[in-house]
Amino acid sequence: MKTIRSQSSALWCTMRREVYHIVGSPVCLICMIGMPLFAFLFFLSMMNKGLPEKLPVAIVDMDNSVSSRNFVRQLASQQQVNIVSEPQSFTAAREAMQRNEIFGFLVIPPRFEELAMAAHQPEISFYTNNAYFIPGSLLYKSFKTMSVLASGAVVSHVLTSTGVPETNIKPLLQPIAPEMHPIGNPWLNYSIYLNNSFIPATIQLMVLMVTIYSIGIEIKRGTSRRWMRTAGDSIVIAMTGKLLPQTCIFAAVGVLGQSILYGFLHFPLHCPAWHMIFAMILLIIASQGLAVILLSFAPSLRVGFSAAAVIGILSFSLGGFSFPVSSMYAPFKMLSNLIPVRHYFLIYASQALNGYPLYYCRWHYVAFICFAVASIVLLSRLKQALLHPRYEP
Amino acid sequence: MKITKKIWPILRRTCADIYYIWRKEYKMVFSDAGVLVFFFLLTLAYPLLYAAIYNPEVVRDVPIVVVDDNRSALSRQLVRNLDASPNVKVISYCANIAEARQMMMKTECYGILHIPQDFNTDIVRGSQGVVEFYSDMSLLINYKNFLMALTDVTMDLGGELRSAALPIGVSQSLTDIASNPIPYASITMYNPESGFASFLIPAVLVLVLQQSIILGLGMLAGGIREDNTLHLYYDGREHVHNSVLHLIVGKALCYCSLYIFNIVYLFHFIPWLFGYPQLGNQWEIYTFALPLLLSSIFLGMTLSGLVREREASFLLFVFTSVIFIFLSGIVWPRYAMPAAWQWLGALVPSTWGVEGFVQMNTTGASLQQMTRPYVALWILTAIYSVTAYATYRHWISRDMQLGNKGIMDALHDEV
Repeated sequence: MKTIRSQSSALWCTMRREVYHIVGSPVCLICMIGMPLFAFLFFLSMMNKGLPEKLPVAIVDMDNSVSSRNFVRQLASQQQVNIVSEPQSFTAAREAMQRNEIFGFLVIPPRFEELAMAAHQPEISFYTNNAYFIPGSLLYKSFKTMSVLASGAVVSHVLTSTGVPETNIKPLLQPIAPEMHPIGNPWLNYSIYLNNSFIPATIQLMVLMVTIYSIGIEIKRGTSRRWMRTAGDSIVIAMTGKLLPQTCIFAAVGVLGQSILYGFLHFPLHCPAWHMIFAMILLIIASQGLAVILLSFAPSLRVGFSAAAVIGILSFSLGGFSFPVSSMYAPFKMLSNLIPVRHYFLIYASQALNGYPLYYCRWHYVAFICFAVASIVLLSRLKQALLHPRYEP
Repeated sequence: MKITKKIWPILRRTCADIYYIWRKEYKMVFSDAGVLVFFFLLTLAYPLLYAAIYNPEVVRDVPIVVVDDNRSALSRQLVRNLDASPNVKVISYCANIAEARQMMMKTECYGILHIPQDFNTDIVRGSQGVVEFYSDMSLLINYKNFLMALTDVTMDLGGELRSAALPIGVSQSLTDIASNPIPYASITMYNPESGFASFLIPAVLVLVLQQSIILGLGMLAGGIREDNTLHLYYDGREHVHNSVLHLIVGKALCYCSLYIFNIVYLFHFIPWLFGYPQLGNQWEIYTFALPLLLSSIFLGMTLSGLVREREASFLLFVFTSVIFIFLSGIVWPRYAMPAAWQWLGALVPSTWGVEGFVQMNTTGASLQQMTRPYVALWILTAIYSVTAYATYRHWISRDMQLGNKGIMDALHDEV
């Protein structure tokens, strides 16, 4: 009974010590609260439109006939494009693209109307700058739609004039009609798609950095022995006491981020909210576990930071948020499992986006717990480093 | 003649000062493993790592399942064609939607094609045959692949059906004209396969350059603060006349000379090694890189004023990489950002650097076409050299008030 009481008082003392540290260090507060909040504001305001609209494009109209001008007007009426110039030649348009004034252009050939009337198949060509992925893809879609519609307009005109009833025209134009159902994000909203992964990845980055800092700085300043003594020379109490206050702060910040996403902005949340809250808290604990593991192997502030920075930044790629993990090379496929936010992302996709039963992401929750457990196993290694602090610049 | 005589000693003293600082900085850099890691290991390794992650470039054969309630020759033809298209792979036929959904839940597939019972009947009857596709939306690139594959396959198959329906004796060319009077050609320029690496890596290269400088200079400044060695730069040597200008110029020259190698590696070797589009004139790219390098160095010097200890560099600046890559507009075009972020982006060298390097390297723009970012970078160089000057001036005056003098000079410096 007495030992339990003394242990809990040691834990309490360690936690109090840590809270004083955090409050007394502006850099900690900036990293734990300031930077994540800035990231929420930054990402969410940047993509608040969902899709980049009014992409600047150019039209090279070499025909200047009634039909071609009509085509240009119809293109201009699309929400996705904004015709900023009408250069006289292909070269001029290409140079505008190289100057980064437009993301694409469309060329209407000379004698367009005449050839179309005479059924000589004049070809519309469009060029997109795919050095920029999102604008390039979106423009491709807009240009293609317009070109197909132009063709369709001519056909339906011809068919109507030959006496085909209007109801039969559509099946003749397009015998097989695909119907796309984008589940969960029917607006194709980029903000929903990117922020659900980038915001937790930012939180993971900051958790990794702050955990490394708060432990490593004790080694650097040689205060780790005092820390251990406060915790009654128990590494488990020392770690719990140090990390628990941080877990609480990060969890508060993370859940705030989630409430902005799902509560304020009404991003899809097709599961009970606590599933995601639980995942966020586990993500933070798992990231702390990962940081402790890194420090156990290399108990140096600088090396720990380097490893955490590499992992934290590469997580944005290895998490498979935009380029799927299944298309990466085998070593990266394996590595992606060692990244906490990857599991968070898969939980999000299964739970919040698609609303599948919790059963299907059980392994990701297990993975989170594995990070924490693995860090406990390695604690004895770290204890030695804490008892004999040695600073390497 | 008289003026020359007056100027000559000043000039000589200036050069000697700068040279002194320059040499001193070399010693500092090469005796600091942490800074060397930032300057060289980071620049060497990060691009390789990133390029390796994205090297597959494109996403192919995304798994889908099919629920075919029609089971006609046509529906099977549709599925076969879809499977044969590069983007999609049909991994299984399912008995019903529930079974297909089960496979989606297990993330064995990312899409479900449902062919309704009267698909074939509808088409034969002369109305549209509708097929439904359900796509998982956790990754937009999968959706894009499905959409492209399905559109192309149904349009091709539709064309075949249409020509089959035409009376015998109508030639193929006439059929084409009837069904497609205005053909189109799509040309994806500068990144023909729409590869991920080809679009992202050039921007990452610029960012790696800037961030390695900011992180490295932050760590150097933190080290100087910790060891209290700032006075070695301005004091303890007769010819060093407390000139902050000489100090920042000397330092900048040191970093510039070190980064010649990095710039060639990042802006020439890596794109060449991984076969990214490389249309620009390499000398013009190097010319463009000069203000990029200088403005990054002066920005780094300015920001290093915030760093109180070596490792704080990590805490403060690693996070900014995420922000800066978005500010550069490579992912989300800059014109579509809120004005505040456009302005913030304009203050970061990498924003202009990414625009200039991507346009020059990937789209083959000339330096003259990139005048706007080039001038912007020189303006940033001017602004940040002033702020770097102010930072060091403030720092040195504080240091002098503390009374740090060149006591350690004899130990550190044998000049």
